[in-house]
Amino acid sequence: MTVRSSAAPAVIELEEARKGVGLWGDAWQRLLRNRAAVAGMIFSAILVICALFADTALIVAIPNALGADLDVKPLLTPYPFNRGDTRCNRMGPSLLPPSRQEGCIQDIEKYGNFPHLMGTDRLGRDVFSRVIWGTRISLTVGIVGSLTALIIGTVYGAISGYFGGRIDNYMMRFVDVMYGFPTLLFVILIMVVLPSENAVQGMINIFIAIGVVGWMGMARLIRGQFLSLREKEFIEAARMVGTRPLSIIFRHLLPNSLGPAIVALTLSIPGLILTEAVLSFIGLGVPPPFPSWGIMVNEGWRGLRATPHLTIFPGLAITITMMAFNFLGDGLRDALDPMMRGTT
Amino acid sequence: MHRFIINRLLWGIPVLILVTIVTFGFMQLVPGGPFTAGSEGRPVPPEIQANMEAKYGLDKPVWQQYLNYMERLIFHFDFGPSLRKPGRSVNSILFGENQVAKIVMERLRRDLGSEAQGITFLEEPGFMSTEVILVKKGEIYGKVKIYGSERLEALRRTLSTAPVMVSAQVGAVSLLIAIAVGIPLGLFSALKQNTWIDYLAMFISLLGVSIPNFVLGIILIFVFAIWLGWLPVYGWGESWKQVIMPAVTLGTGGTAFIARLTRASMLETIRQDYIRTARAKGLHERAVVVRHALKNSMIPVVTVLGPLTAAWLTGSFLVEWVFSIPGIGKFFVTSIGDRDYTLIMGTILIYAGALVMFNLAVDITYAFIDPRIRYD
Repeated sequence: MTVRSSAAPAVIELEEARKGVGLWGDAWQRLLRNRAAVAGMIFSAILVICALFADTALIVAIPNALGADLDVKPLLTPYPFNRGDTRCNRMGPSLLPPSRQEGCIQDIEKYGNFPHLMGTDRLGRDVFSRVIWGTRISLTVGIVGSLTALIIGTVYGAISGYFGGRIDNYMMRFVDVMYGFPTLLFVILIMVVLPSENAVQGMINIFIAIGVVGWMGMARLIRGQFLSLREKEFIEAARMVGTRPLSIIFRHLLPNSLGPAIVALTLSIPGLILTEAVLSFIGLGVPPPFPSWGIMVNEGWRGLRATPHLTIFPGLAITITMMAFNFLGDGLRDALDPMMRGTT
Repeated sequence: MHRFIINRLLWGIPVLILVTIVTFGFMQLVPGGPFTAGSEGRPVPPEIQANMEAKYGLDKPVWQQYLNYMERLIFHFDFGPSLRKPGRSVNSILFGENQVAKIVMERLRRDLGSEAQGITFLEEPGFMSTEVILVKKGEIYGKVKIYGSERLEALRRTLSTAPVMVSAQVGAVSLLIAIAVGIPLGLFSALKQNTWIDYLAMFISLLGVSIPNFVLGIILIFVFAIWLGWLPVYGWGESWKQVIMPAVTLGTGGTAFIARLTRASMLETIRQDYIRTARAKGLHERAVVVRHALKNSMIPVVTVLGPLTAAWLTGSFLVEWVFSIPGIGKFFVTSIGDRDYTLIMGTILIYAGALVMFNLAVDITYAFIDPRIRYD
């Protein structure tokens, strides 16, 4: 085989190239070589920018807190998400500004004259603006939900994995029972139990519900990592020199489990975004004034024949976002753990 | 082996009992009850509410309710009366009684068009279908949806197929797609690793994993039903074509996942020593791939197929909603909104039972795939 003959010099070459590059730097280099992952990363970054700067809320927040009275206005989006000219409803996508479009009599003084790139919905609201705003809800759910799952799952899995034995057995059986319920059903049950008086409360409920179902996978992963790591020599050595359990957990076990946890975290984001979209689609998710992609698909699909753009664009937004995070997660996994390359 | 199967089946019983206990407990936590809101969300007077609760035994202590329920379930296989669908039992809602279907059909044939005699047509905006409520002796006898009044034959077939079977049919076709497409796709991309075939196959399967069920369903409707006009938009029981889009919609995510899993598992297997041995002793490449590599890399795929089968055969809310399919998937969501306790319990038990059964099937399959796994 050719591999055998060229292996030895290649290793030396690689060793030289990696000089001064740590584990993370190395992983970063590998990540950058993966074109799909880089594309996913760039798209995710664009989504984050969209989510942060869809309106001026973020920029205005600090002056507002200092007492300045500034209006929140659309920033990245041409139109507001909750208002539109109803005389210009159900318009197809167009590259022409409303004033030059046939049949459109939009109040340009009030709403501006930017082309409705993805058309307007039944209330005359600009679909493009709403899709951009939708990133805010999807990403918040994805990131806050996965962080919640990470925190709960890590604590649970760390306790279970570190102590092992009977405690581990009981804690994991509980996880097994929780797994026995269909995820969506469980989320719906939680959503029904939690009170929701206003829109903000409804949003928070979604985070709670999604976080509560998401932690189990993370707990299993961290526990598995801990179980295998705690038998390794370096942990034994740490114990031998009298390191305290908390120190072992935080200094030795957790950092070594971080790689797989980050991969699992990234790969869990699309699942959470999907859960939110499904909940909103069936009317149990984000309350209506917020432009969630799921709600937009739900509002649009009954009129699929006449106004397909109301459904297709938000649907594509969900799909592309999930793809971006999946590509990024796959790339991260390959980069952080070359041994696991290609596994699902 | 027999002892193992019996043992595992017996283990399923405490699992299912645990599921009933947890579900029962959860229903006590959920605010509101089946009788707190009337048909149009109007509040129900407390006296009526109390009467209704007494009628269904909901005024008794929780443990007694639970024991009564379990007694009926275990000794009579009776899931109890539906709390929100008057006059219907959960058994008839889920498993359908062909007897009922026949009577409904006869009544419908006789009474169609003469609403006064007991059929009420409700127009549901947006759906373009007609909801028919059949009234018998002053009680609502059944509620069915028909798509155009002349399609009686379709209605007959829909009614004579139990909702459980409708969901199972869609699920079974999805499963066929997942196995027939997913495994070969993963296999070829593993064999052609790092070629354009591999990249294309993996891009497609990542797309399949990423696209949500309902978005895919709507896109399929738009392309194949509205744009090309090849397939019917929605409905059930009229033509075999009506099963294609729901099954593809339901199956795509799992198919793509199985393709990715097969590829990963194959890549690991073909680097094993016994594959080299098989090649070294001069076996045909095809024999090596199919008999040695593929068979041995099926373990993770089969593991995933267990819960997947359970979930698919018991119906999907989204798919049944988008395509207007009279399966049981919709009850998973509507029963919770209705607080129809007995129906919630029935649907969850069906799912949990399927899960126990198919996980057992997975374990048995292991022994056939890998002779090293024994259960004696």
